Amino acid sequence: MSVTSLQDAQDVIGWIKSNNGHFNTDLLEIRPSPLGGIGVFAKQDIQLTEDMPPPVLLRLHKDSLLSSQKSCVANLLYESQITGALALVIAFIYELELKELSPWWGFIKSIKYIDDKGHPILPPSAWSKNEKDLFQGSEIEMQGYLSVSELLESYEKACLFAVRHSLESKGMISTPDILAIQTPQDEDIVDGKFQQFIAISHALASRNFEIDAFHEVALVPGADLFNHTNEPSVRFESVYEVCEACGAFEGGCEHVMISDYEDDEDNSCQDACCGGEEHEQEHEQESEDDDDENMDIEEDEEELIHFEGTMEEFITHIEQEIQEEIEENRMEDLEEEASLEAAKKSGINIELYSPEIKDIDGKIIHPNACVDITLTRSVSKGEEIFNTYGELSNVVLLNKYGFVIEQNEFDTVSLGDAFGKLRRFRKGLFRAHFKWWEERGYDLVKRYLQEIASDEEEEDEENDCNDGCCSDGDEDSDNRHGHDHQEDGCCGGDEPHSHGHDGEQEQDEDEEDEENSWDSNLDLLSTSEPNAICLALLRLLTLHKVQLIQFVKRGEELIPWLLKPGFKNPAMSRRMQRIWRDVLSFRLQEYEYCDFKDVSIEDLEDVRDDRLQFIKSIVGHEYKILERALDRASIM
Amino acid sequence: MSHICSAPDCGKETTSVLKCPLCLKQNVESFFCNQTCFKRSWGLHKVHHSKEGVDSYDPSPNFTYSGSLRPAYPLSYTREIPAHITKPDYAANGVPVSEQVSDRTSKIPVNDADEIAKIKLVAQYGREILDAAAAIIKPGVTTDEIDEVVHNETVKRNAYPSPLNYYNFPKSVCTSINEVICHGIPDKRPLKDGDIVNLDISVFHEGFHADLNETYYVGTPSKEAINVVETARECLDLAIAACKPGVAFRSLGDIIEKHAKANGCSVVRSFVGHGIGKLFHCAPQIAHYARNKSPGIMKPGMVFTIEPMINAGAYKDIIWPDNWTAVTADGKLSAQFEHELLITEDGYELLTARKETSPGGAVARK
Repeated sequence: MSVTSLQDAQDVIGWIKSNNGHFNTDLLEIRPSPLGGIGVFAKQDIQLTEDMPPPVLLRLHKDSLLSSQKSCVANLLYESQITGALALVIAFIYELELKELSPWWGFIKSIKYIDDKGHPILPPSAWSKNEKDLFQGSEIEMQGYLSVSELLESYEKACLFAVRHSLESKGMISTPDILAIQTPQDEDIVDGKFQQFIAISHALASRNFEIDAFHEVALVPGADLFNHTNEPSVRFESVYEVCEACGAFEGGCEHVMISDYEDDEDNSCQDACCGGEEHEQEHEQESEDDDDENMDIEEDEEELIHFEGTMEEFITHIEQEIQEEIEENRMEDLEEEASLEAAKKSGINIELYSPEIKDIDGKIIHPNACVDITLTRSVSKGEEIFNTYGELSNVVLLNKYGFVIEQNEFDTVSLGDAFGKLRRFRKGLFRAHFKWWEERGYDLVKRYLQEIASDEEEEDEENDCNDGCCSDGDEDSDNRHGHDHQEDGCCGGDEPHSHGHDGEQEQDEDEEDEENSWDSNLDLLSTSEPNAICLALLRLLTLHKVQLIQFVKRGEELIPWLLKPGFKNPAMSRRMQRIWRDVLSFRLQEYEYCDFKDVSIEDLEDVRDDRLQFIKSIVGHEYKILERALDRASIM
Repeated sequence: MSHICSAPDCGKETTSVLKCPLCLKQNVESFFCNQTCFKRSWGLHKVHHSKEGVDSYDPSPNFTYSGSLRPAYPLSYTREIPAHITKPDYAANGVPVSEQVSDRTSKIPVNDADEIAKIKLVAQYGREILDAAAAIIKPGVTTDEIDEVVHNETVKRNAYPSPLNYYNFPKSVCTSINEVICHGIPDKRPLKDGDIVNLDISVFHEGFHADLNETYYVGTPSKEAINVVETARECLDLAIAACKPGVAFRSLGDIIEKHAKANGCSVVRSFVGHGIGKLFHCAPQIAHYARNKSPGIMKPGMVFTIEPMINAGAYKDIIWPDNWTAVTADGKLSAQFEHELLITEDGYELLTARKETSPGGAVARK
């Protein structure tokens, strides 16, 4: 899965060490993974214990990450107002061009975007027309992953960026070859450069991590060596709330966000770093942590002092307080030393739980200024250690990471268009149903589901499922924890992972825009069952016209009825079965190819075998999900 | 009758009659708004109090100093700035608000012709003030006396000495002797034969700052002193020569460290060069050590300083209890040079260049 070679991976570990990072080579080794490429493996059993924090496998100072903010073109990107994933791609291309002169070279060269045959490694959107045609009607097409227009737009922006800054500097700022488009130029050359750009974007999309308010997304050397699974054993951690101006962890700088300053005109606090709601909290913590620096000015101005006595006595009093504070700090230091000493004596390996990493000055870096990969469940010797990139379907996995998981439980088949067909073709029957669904029902159901979800979330927090409960290979661990996980009880996509690979979030936002249409979110799950919204619509459609009139009158109070479980049992009504069969059949008709039994590579021009395998896997699984659903709807 | 509150972290006008009793004993009237101001600023204020029976004293006798240099308190009282001089935003209470609310570190200011003209003028003043201060360097002169010259020369030019009250720095110049890397506070210590001393001048005039420094020999220098000082001087010259549009800021550190290493010296990592102009310190950051990750690339119109601090021993630094003075952790000598430069269409222009009459200058290695 990871396309990094073993030697390159070793070089990355070397890079981490020489950049003061921590990669626990006592516990971990890099070797070829049975999944292909290389992976990270446990050298010994690693136990999670309840009374100790999870072991840190990888720790890097945020300053050592490759982000657009840290790159040599950071200021040019700022001027051009390019941010996010594209900024990172452009920064990477400029760093790549510098080769050994880039401080990230040891890491950069491990990122392969060209395969062994010299072809750029591309997402489906950049495949040949014939290859893309094979996806027709599949989720890849439905979800818009076959369009290359967004990438083309990004490439144009990147080339304009390069040209602008080269021209403005009269050529003193050189243009990386990939972004250098001359006029006139051979179309093939331009296309070749565009393909390289896509391949780089693709490689980075699979490796970038969301870091914080300053860095946005960044490449994290070493963190991308962990392969993906739906049942991970590590998670990526990064404190998101940092100073937006410079990325310093709270109190580590003097920046004040303009909004803060205006809120608090008279604030004489020197270290009013960072933004927003966290402000208060930060200060409390700051005064604990950074006393030495702010002692003189951290006083609350509102609290006026009234010392009874002469000024000389007042001075004596102040001096006494200073001495007491010094003594207190000294005692705290001693206590901390003593507890460290005690921990060492009891055989606890502090380095395992909180490895000390130092900055370039040799000063110890606060863990909150670092990114970590920590273990979330015990692993045994020889086991491959996986991260998760999120609860992702094969469509997303292939598009972003270039691999698929056979029979991926997060695959879905969208039924919006199929319901649309039903609405058109059975106008007489369902006009009123769809009208109500579009105007009221969809929103009511969605809101109701969100309320349930947020209630569950609260419960989940109480239950705290960070101990890696549901996925530790213990086969019937599913329901023991009393919290409700979908289907397989995997909590792989738990909160902390949202700090992980970034693109999912962007995608979430994109989806948000379309979510208000009546036909969105109507999905068939990989279990061949309709999702909740889909079930609600189905149940609505089973109402006869008279029933519907009564239903509409009562409206909201009947929403729980629409959503009550029991798709399988009690069995579907015949009416529901018939509607369901129609919808599924409409959906199946969308596919150009749904069965590849008769298709062989020889019949297909301009189709690569490896890509055909991906197409077969994805379309085949969707087809299987649909067929199984259709079978079930036809039993009675 | 109103006064300015003597708390450097207040600076407001007050009609309060609360006075520091210890200052009164020294025949000085230091007014404070109230007991709150007095207590809060006590640590910053008490540096001016003399001790009975001694000329000068070490305020932190229990501190483990890394070398033989000691602070010599009391510090002289805060020098006056005439009312007609435009002050930077931090002059009253020490908080450089404009710096703190400035934009992301990846935004590097590019100055227009008008701004550049003002920057050049204040840089010129900086050079003149540095030369005037350097001219009085000789054994027996205290750094406080140098501070007085700097202060007066600055005010004479209708300018404000940028260090004064910047984050409550108490003086108008930084004077860094021997093992002091930077940010030394002028005090009562007289210069001695064989010392090296760095004068770091910063000036604010018509809304723009300038910043430059040089290290000078006091009397007859040792061989070790000559090596570290001349190496620092050459490091800066080499780095400056590399500047032009399209050069990554981080590449300067490679040049500096290579030359420092070749001469058996090390490069300090805790302090960086910086952008300068409307703000005393802004982007870019310029680290002076090799393989650093300072972001950004040079473009015409940018103005910044390069100020390598070169140590005779190891690069590590520690900070004195005054929270300013940075000294070498091994107590060995440290030297620094700083210029301010403007990136032009095809290279750079040195804004703080030495004149023929400038004191100091390179000494041949023997």
